Formats: sequence, structure tokens, C-alpha cells
Amino acid sequence: MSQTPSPEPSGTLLSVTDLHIDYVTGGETFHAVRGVSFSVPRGGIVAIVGESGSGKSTISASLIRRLSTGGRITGGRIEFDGTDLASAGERFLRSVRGARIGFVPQDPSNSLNPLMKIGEQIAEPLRLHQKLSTTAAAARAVEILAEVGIPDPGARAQQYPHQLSGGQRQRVLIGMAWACNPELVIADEPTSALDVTVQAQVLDRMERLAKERNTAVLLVTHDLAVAADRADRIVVMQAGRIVEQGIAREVLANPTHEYTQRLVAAAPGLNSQRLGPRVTTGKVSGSSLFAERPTSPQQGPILEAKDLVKTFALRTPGAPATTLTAVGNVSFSVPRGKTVSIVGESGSGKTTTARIAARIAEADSGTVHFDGEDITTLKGEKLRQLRRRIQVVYQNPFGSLDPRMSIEKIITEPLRAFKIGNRAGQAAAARELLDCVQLSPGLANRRPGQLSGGQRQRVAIARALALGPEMIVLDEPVSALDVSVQEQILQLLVDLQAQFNLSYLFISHDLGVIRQVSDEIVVMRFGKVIEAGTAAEVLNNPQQDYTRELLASIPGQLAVR
Amino acid sequence: MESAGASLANRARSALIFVAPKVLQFVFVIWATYTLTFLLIHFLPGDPVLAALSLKGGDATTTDPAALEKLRAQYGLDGSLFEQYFRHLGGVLSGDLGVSISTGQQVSTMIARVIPHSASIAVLALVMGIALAVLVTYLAFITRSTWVRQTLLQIPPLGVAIPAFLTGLVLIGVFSFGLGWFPSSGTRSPLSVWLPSITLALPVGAIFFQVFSAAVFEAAGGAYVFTAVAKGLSPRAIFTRHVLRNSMLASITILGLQIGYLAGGTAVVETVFSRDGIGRMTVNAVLARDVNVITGVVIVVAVVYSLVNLVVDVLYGLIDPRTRPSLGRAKGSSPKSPTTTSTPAAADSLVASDDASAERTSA
Repeated sequence: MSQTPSPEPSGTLLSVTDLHIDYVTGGETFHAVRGVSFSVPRGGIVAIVGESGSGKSTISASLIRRLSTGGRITGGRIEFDGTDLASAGERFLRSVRGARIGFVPQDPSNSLNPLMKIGEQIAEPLRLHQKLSTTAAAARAVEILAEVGIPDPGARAQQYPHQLSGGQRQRVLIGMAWACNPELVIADEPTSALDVTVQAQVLDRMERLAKERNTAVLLVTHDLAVAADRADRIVVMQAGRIVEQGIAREVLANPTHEYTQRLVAAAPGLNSQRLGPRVTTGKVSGSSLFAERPTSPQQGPILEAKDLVKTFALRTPGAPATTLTAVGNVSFSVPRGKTVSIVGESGSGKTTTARIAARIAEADSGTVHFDGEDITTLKGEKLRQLRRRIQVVYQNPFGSLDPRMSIEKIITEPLRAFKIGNRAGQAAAARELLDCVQLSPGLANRRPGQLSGGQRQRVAIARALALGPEMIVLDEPVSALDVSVQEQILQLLVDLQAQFNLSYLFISHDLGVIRQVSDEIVVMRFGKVIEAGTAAEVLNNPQQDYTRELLASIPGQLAVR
Repeated sequence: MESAGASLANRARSALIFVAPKVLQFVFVIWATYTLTFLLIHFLPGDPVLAALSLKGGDATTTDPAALEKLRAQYGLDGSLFEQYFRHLGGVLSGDLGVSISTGQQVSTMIARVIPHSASIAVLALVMGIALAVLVTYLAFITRSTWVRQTLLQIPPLGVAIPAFLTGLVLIGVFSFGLGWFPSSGTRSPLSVWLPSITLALPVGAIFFQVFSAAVFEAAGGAYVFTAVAKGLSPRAIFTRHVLRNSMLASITILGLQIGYLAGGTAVVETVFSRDGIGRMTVNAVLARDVNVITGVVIVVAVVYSLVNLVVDVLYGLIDPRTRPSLGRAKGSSPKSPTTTSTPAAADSLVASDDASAERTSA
């Protein structure tokens, strides 16, 4: 089955013509893909870019004819090397999957069988398609692990997925996709779940494999910057249709469709300016909520954290308990009305630091001063009262809203908790808050399930604003959102900051996002602050290698250069 | 990673650390069961010996106190509560469960005699039940017709819905009296195990099926099954190599509970088929107020139940590498995506989960 790639590099390998895909759920039909045509040349890299719900992942799954329940191809052709996959039999498809078309799935943490050793999982397609013997396949699997850059591949092959990091797991999946030297690899959001620096490495690895083996790659991503960096051609999708396609460079430099223009403008990797507040004209809505806010005479920083230390005991059955220093001697301060961002990758301690600052978690040692007052050891009612002044917005807009509460109830819950206003007053406040976050008041009676991710995050922000806080801790507030929605939320945050003189502690792993909102930046790694300074200093003149690496990892730079 | 010798020693050590707390728990459960049963029986109103005698001899039973005292001593029911408690505990530890009041036999002998009868139908029922459940689930998994799948998935709940005495009677009617293939009652013929086993297998298999098939279809929608499909594996290979073990993991707990149920729950079936067995013995002992037999049965069932759960716990470790004790490697504690688990941000929610999931070192 191991065909050597065709010597003729210019031919078309995959050609999709007028593809239609429907999902039928509970008697309702949803047209996910509405007449899509594109082609992938041999050895070329084509990116499909679009937001969630645009149908891009549906297309990638349809190419190996594995749509999720209810999905059906209702029209069009998927010609792969001359055969129509849309009408091919299951047996033929099985001989294509894994052998001639590899697939790199989205979610590295769930895409490997948790009960099977890594090596065995890679060996499986080798035995199936290349008819290798068990020992030969096992040996080849170790080689593949080495090829995708996993250190100590022999030992790793004997390990289970949970013993690998997210980046390593994605490498394993990449190795698996390339195991049988396929002619085409479909990569569906291969790096969305990974840290930026890891993301860059993983994409580099994919690009190198594609080049070495002359494999065509269909890269599906929501991130225009990633597509710009890696692809020869870009296909932009919106609501099941292709709105624009062409040479990557041209599409980026000269987007013709209005939607593409918006995407290009929104991509955080492609524009490095800090967002300014938009001029608000007319009445300042929401001002009544902030009327009671005590205006502090103090002029110092609103929040000051000194020498924070937090350790966790890690207990695995059978191993001696080890302590993990999540936060080690971290100090920073947040000036009034400004945004301080903590950037770092997973495991850097940034979230724990933010939680300590908001007094959700307690530090082992160190102090936190809020508005000049020591809040490190506040307890009970006093700590409760502090919630009126510091609020938190979480990353996950799906998990942080009670699905059974109406939007109005969610937004006014803090008011009820602090017994502020009567029912009518709270309802009025809810409308005002919805207005603040630019949501239609008509949404007040909906439930979170009926809202999009961006709308939900606006609701979460409205809830945080309800008590008229002086400071908001934003823990990865846009990481779960589509790029274009990210931009809108960030703009909203910047506007609100100017409107209400809010101070932000902004947590993110994405320097691209951080440079759009920050006044000061704190870079954390392994629980320590390795660099801190004004946004301009850190971004333009980084002192540490790690910061430079983070900056270099922001996608979109290869294309801009 | 480690050298072979060190790895072996390490492995033995971590296996011990994994198993030791579970064994302790096992011992505790047995002790607690014994104590609870003992207390319950002794705080029941009435004298157990007198009650048993009156059931034997009718209301007219007259006993003089001396004879009664002698009988108490014979059945180990004399002395203060404390004395009895420790005497019996000592007996339990040495395998002596006392003497049956109604038959005068050693309780341990009685139990030992009936256990093989009960165990044979229970084990057979379990094996048939699981095999049936896996088979039906496999067929439902493999079929491409939604209609066939839905039908297959709807059948097993019948097994729970039909009571055992009815299935038993129908089976006797058809296969014993009608076709004459199997004996209708007793334990003498080796063929006699089949009908009671089938009767038991239906509810056992049906309950297992509910959990197992749910796990299979959840796994089938999972990301790693998609990966397996993308590799080009056949549905059969996907089921046997990827789905089965993962689904077993979810179902193994219910399996433990079912074995516990079988250990004591065979009473109806044994009555319908007039078999000697632990269930029927229990019913008789309760009717005869035979406290020593009741205690004995409860303890034996508790031991079986706890043993099964011990085995299930150890099985977990064998099947699922994630629950295996680590070999002292700091690396590889599952790194999270750059996200943090967060609690809903209610204004007054001060208590946030303080667990270590917040931040971990990624390998």
C-alpha cells in the first residue's frame, strides 16, 4: 500500500466539487456545507479557515467519510486521486484511511486510546496497511516517534498517553498520520489545544514532514495567522460556503470579501497594536451601577502583591508525595485604571497567581494589598464584601454560567447576593448591564444554551460588572472564543475600562492577545516571574530568551515578513 | 526507564502500596458487618433460643430455666453481650460460625455444603449474562442500520422487567415438562444448573448491558475512536481493540455490585427450582429464627462481596494504566491544556476548588 508519492508534483490530488452536507437531528435538517468546491495539489498545503460553525470541520471529516451522527453527504464529489470518495464503498474507504489519507485530529488529550501503549497505537496502521510483522511494526513505531521529535522514543513507546504532555501527544498523532506515508494529511485544528510555543514546534514538524515526504496537507484552522504562516493556498469559509479562496499571500494582503477583511483585521497575530477605547457618545449607560462606588483618595496602585508563594502537594498512589511550587516569590502591582497582564504557558502559575490576587485561593506566604488595605488574611463577611470590589471573569463561557438560569437572573445574581435594590431595580440594572456589554435587552429571558460563545462571555462580563467593581481579574477571557469574536470582546473590555476606570489583571497564554490590551506585562514560567515591565519594553525589547521565544511563536509573523 | 531489577522491586513495592489500603478496607468491612449483624440480632426483642424453640414446638413449649441455659451454652448464646461478641468474633476468625439452632449442625458445614450449588449457578449466570450483553452490544455497534440498532438496544431491558419466578416457571414448563431436556428441580444432575442459571442470567445480563452499551456508544463517539477510524481499522477491530476495554472500565463497577447481588440474591431462583443453596438456606434460617445461621450467612456473603470488590479494584489498576501507582516518576502527571478548571463566578462564591489541578508542570 505504501505508494511512493507521484513524481509529478503539479497534479491535483484532491478535488472537491459542489459538496453539500446535511445534519439531521430530531427531524430538523441543518445544511452544514452548502456547495463547496476546492482542490489540493500534490505536495501542497491548503488551509481552510473559518469560525466555529462554518462547516470546516465537517468537510475534513467528510473527506474520510466519517461524519458524526446524523451527518450525510447530499451532493457533490470528493475526488481523491481519480476516485470519488463520496460514493466509494466502506471497504475501499478503509484501504484509503490511514494508508493514503492521514488524519491529525483536534484534541490530543482525547484522541489517543488511554489504555493502549503509544508504540502499539502507532504500530496498528503499519501492521494493517503495510503488512509489517508485529516486531517490525513495533520497531518502526519507535523510529516514527524519533522522527516527530520525541526524546527517548524507545521508552516512550512503552508509555501510555497520560504520561505524555499535550504537545508530545500531538506529535504522536502526527507520527501516526504520517506512519504509512500517505499522499494527503488532513489536520483539523491540530494545535488549538496547545501552548503557543508548542504550537509553533508542532506546526514546524508537520511542515517538515510534508516537505520531506512530499505530502499534501489540508490544514483546517480558525486562526488565520496560522494559515497565513503555513499554507500555500487559503480557503475562507463562512456559514457552510466558501467566501474567498486563493494564494495565501494574496488573500492576506488583498482580501476581497468583506468577511475575510474582518478576519484579517481581527487576527491578533497580524496586528500588534494596543486597542484604544472607542469614543462613546451620548448617555453613559451603566453609570448608575457605579454611582455608589467609593472613590478612593489613595493614589497608589490598586493591587499590590508581594512575594506570593503557593505550593501544592502532589500525591500519586504509590509514590512519595512531592510538592510543586506553583507560585514562587511572585510580586507585581496593578496601577489604577490600567491593565496588567500575566503571560505564561500552562503550568507557569499564572492562574494560581491571579486566584490568589483575587483572594479565591490563599497563598502560603506573601501579602496582597488592595487599595492600600491588606487583604491577605481577610475572612468571612469582610472577604465577602471584597467581592464587590474585585470580580473575576473566567475562561470558559460554557461552564461558568448556570444553564438553568435566565440571563437576567445570572447577571443580577450578585445584586441579590448583596441584597442591592428591589426586583424592579434589579431588572433595570440587568438591562443597563446588557447595554454596557452591547447585548440586546431582548436576551434577558434567554438561557445560556441559546447564546453563542461570544455572547456568553459578554454575559459573564456583565455579571462581573454588576456590583460596580474597581478591579476585574480576567482569566483567559477570550481563549475559548473564535478569533473574530476575541477581537470584539477585547474591544469591549478596553471600552469598559475607559468608561468605568476599571483596573484589569489579565491572564493569558497568548502574547498576541496580551499585546492588544496590556499596559504592563509580567512573564511567568515555572512559577517564577522571569520578566516584567511596560508593554512596550517587554514586547519591543525583551530581555529574556523565553520572552523572545514566546514572541516568535505568535502565529502570523512568517507571513508578515 | 529503570534497570530491570530495580524496576521489578519498584513495581512490587508500588503494587503493595496500591493493594494494601484496599486489603485493610476489606478487613474493616467484614468486621463492621459482623458487628452490625451481631448488634442487630441482639437488640431484637425476645430471646433467640426461646423464639427458635417455640417455632419448633409451637406455643405449648415449656422449658425450665436450667435446660434453657444449657441450650444457650450449646449454641454459644450465653454470657454477657461482651463475652458473646468476642467469643463469636474469635469463632469467625477461626472459621467456626457456631451451631445451627434448628438443625444442630455446624453452620460452617452447612454453608460449605450449599455454596458450590449457589456458586455454580451464579458464575454460570454471570458468564452467560455478560456474554449475551457483549454480543448484543457488539451487534448493535457493528450494524449500519439505525433501525436494527434501536431494536437491539430495546430488547435487554425486558430481562430486568420480567421477574425471575416467571422466567423460571416458563423455562421449567418448556424445557423440563415440555421438551424434557433439563431437570426441573434438585441439584443432583449436572444438567440441573442450566435452567436456574439462565433465569438468573437474564436480569444480570440486562443490567450489565445497560451500563456496558451506554459506555460503548459513548466511547464510539469519542475522539480516540475517530482516530482509530482514520487509521483505517475495521469496525470489528475498533470494537475489540479500542472500545471494549475502555467500556469494560466503566462497567466493571456494576459487575462487582452484581456479583455481590448474586452471592445473596439467589433465594427466589433456588426456591423456584427447589435447589439447595445459600439463598434458600437463608430464607429457611430466617423463618426458623436461627440466628447463628443468619449471622454465618451474612458474614460469608460479606466476605464474597468484599473479595469481589477487592478484585474489581485491583482489576481497575490492571486495565487502566492511569490508576496504576506511579513508579516515582515526577514527569507525566497529566498536563492540562492551558485552561484552568474554574468554578462559576457567583459574586459570593468564596470557596473555590483549591486542588492542584490549577497548575501543573507539563512534562
